[in-house]
Amino acid sequence: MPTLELDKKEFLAALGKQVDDATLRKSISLMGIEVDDITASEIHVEVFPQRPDLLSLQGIVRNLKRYLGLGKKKSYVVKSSSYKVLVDKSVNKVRPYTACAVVTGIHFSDQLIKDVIQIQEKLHVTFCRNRKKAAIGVYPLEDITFPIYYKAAKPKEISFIPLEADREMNGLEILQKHPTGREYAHLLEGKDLFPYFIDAKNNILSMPPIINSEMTGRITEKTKDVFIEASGFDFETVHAIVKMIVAALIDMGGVAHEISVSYPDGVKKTPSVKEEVMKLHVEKANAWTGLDLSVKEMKSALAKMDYEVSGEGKILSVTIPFYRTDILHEVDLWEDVAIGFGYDKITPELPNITTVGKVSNEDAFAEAVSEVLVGAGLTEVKLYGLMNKELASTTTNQDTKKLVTLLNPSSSEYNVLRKDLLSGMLGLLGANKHNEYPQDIFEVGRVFSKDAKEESGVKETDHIAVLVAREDADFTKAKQVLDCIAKNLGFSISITEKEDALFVPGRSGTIMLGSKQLGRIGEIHPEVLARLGVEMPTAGFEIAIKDLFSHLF
Amino acid sequence: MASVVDKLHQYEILILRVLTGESFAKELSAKTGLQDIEVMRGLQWLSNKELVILENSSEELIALDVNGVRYKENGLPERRLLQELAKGEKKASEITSLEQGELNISIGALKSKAAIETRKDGELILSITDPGKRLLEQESFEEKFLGQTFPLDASSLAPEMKFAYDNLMKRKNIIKKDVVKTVRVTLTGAGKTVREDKRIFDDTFAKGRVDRITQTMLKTGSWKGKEFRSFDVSINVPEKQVGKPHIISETTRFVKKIWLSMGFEEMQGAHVQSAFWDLDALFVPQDHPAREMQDTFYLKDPSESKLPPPLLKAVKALHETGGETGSKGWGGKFEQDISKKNLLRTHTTVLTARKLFDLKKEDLPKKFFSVGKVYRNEALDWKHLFEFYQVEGIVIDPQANLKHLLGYLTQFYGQMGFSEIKLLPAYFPYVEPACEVHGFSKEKKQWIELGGSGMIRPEVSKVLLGFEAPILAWGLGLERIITLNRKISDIRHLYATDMSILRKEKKFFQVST
Repeated sequence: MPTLELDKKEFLAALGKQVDDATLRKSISLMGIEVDDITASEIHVEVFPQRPDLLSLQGIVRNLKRYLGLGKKKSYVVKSSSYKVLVDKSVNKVRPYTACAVVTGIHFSDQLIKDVIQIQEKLHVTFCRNRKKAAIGVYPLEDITFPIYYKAAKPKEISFIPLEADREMNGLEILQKHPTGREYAHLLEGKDLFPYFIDAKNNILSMPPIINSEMTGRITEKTKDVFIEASGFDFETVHAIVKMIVAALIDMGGVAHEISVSYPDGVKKTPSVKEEVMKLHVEKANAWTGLDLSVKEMKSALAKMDYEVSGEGKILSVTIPFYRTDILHEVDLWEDVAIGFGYDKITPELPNITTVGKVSNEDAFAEAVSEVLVGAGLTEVKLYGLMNKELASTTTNQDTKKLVTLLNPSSSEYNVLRKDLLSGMLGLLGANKHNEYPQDIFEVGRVFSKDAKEESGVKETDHIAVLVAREDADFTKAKQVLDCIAKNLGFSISITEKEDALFVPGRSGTIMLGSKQLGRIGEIHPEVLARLGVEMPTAGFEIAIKDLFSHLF
Repeated sequence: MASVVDKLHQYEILILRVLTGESFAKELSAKTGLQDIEVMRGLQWLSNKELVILENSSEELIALDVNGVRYKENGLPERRLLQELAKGEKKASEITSLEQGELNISIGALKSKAAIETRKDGELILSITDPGKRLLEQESFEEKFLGQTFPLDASSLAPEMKFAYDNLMKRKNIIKKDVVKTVRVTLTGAGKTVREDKRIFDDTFAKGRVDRITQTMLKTGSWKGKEFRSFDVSINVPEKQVGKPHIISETTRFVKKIWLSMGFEEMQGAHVQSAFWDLDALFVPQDHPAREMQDTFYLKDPSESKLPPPLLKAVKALHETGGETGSKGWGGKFEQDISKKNLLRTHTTVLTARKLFDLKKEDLPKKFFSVGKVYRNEALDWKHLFEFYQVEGIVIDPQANLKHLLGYLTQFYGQMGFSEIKLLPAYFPYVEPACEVHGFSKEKKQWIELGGSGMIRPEVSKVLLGFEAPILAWGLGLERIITLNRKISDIRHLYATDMSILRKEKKFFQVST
């Protein structure tokens, strides 16, 4: 989750009221923002990803004012203007959409400049998915001459001085040599044409989503008016971004101006502060939240969340603030009713319904087997389901045929899903050479193997496996433990001889329940032990718990 | 109350009898008739009772080895050689009193002292020199050394004896060095007092009391009429190894009991799931950052799942436009190629998704839980695991609401020791409202974040269940329950594979409120 460090002095000044830390902490978190810390000079918060409009000091203060009941809903106005941005069809295949705005009359202090940079950064990382979905540019208006063109050209034909560079570079050079270019190069890699903004005087403003030009790409304390654009693959998305930034800039004292963004198939005027109205069914909201609020109470809860509400009956008309992007369904309003009402005022209630508890029979059975094994003096181990491919195969003399492999393992120690429990447990014994023997262990866990018949192509079964590592460990010792399980759970098994490269030849077999194969048993081959550095005789077995269960019950 | 004397074991008594002033442990077996091991045990017990003081010291002693014993008796081989040569020069093959190995060593040793001369005439011929004759008349340092009484204290050798010692050590099996530990025993004041008790010298007391009760005694009744020796019951006894369940299993059982007591049914399912069931069906947008390779494990082989066609259609519509759910959806294009991808389940909520799909309206109300493993592509460190257990509960009840959620949470967490529960707004794509759960720990006297909760979005229930119904859901990490229960700062500890750690692990126990 993105974190914001807000200047406390600026925050309280914008709020227009001195509020103590405890109240700040409580009300900000009840409003829906996680508070990490409040220091003497800063407020550290984490913003949940569905509310990108709260990724700025201005956005948070705007909502907190209403939540604390400090003043009325602010109305946001966009003035009409003759500013034009012309979108060329060449951008169609690379980055088809842009939305733009002009905001004038802001006194950019050092702090406000930092705020604007922070909004861009946080939106880039979150809502814009690291610029993959959309990218933002903010420019000082005085260096730009309208109309602006949004076009695409061959990388080598786009040449300008990018931010932080001392010479002109072309599109390709920027991706190869400029630090920011290298960081985001993957977003344009392989494209024939790169997008760019250029003004009426043929000055390139930027090459989105990579970088602005040094000449027009930096706001300073002298800047009063700015041009804002967002570009990407979906008009609604880029428009939403511009609206969120414009709202913050208006909160900073700016005046917003509309831009005619002229697409080949028509003109879109941005930013639009037109607000959508959604119906809210009072009864449904009350049923969902259990709050049983009157219309008046519901309206006041919604007002705290900066909504405008009209109507008095069972159905209310709720105007959604233009900067909100997260209201997909009426349920989103119900949540805001509850937040506006205050989660701290919700009382717990237990309904009077009867249901019967049930656990999985197989798990209960596995638990019974575990109890027998613990009683027999074995220690239970828990290993990861992911393991090293060599340990699962070559080290333990097993094939890789049915091994399920990971596409993106975080380490080569854990690159396949285990096909059996014994190999991982042998690895554990290898890591415990320095510890006291006997080391008698067991594990209950899931194993995985490829099977085209399954929905996912993977067959999953739960196994129980035992290893006894001690001076006198042999086939008999392993079989004794197996018999212990059989006797205590009331079934009888037999062993049919079977060669298995994990075990010593002539000392291994298949565990049978009647004619059903349950698993394998044997003395671990010294060759396998040597590979793991285990210098203690070891024997063991592994059985499929579900097969056993389903044949017994 | 049994006195110190009552508790004395036979060994201790026999030792006490012979202890006067200062003694050495090694002398005691002869004096008491006990075996060395019995003396050592008796002494250790006496020392534990502070009746004696034991002082350990170790001493390096020189002892004769096999050849040394022979040479001490028969003389060193070089002397025997000189003696033979004194009778006149001899061919090497004619010398009979020495073995071949001894001969070579003796020739070397004597030549270095210029005591003999050698020449070759077909074979080696040896003759004695004048210094050799003089040597015959006197004892060498080595002979003087062997003449001493062994064992010998290695720390107090005179310089010429040290020289002889070094020479002899170089030769095979003549002398050897042993480290001998000596234990000096001194009676303490308390020891002296105890020794004044007449019973110490009374054999009936010393040997007649019943020590370990044996099967024979019980069979024959031979214990009757005898006194039982008192034991020191405050003593530490050796550790006993036991078998034990893993802490994760114990905690899982603890949590399952809570669910059972609240009337919840268990849900289970596959760890390998398609992105469709794990994420798409739960309305997680297809470009959600959590889906990326650095967060979620995808499978290379097998890489894809089969998908259920009718549900796929409904989920696609939900994502793109909201379909028939009354939602706007996420917009953009829903890609089936993303849905098909096999992954390791990122949450057990995928089991909820599948369960909702299977449920019918007439089954309601229902309550389900699961405790299952989930996977996240994280590098292992003290607070991150790439595999961990998620505990999850859902309530599907047409009458359910947010107040009930808080009610269930209060009941559930109450069994884990939290006296009060509060909710704070949060975000998860498939629930609305989404709430963080905080619990007040009586023990720690503070609010602790416990997990997430919420009500499943109507879009999700509409698509999976076929109709809109309020569904309460909450979950937390099983590892969180353990770390809250005990002081563990490094979460990897829970998956320790070191047997010594596993054997030391305490039983899981939690008091409910």
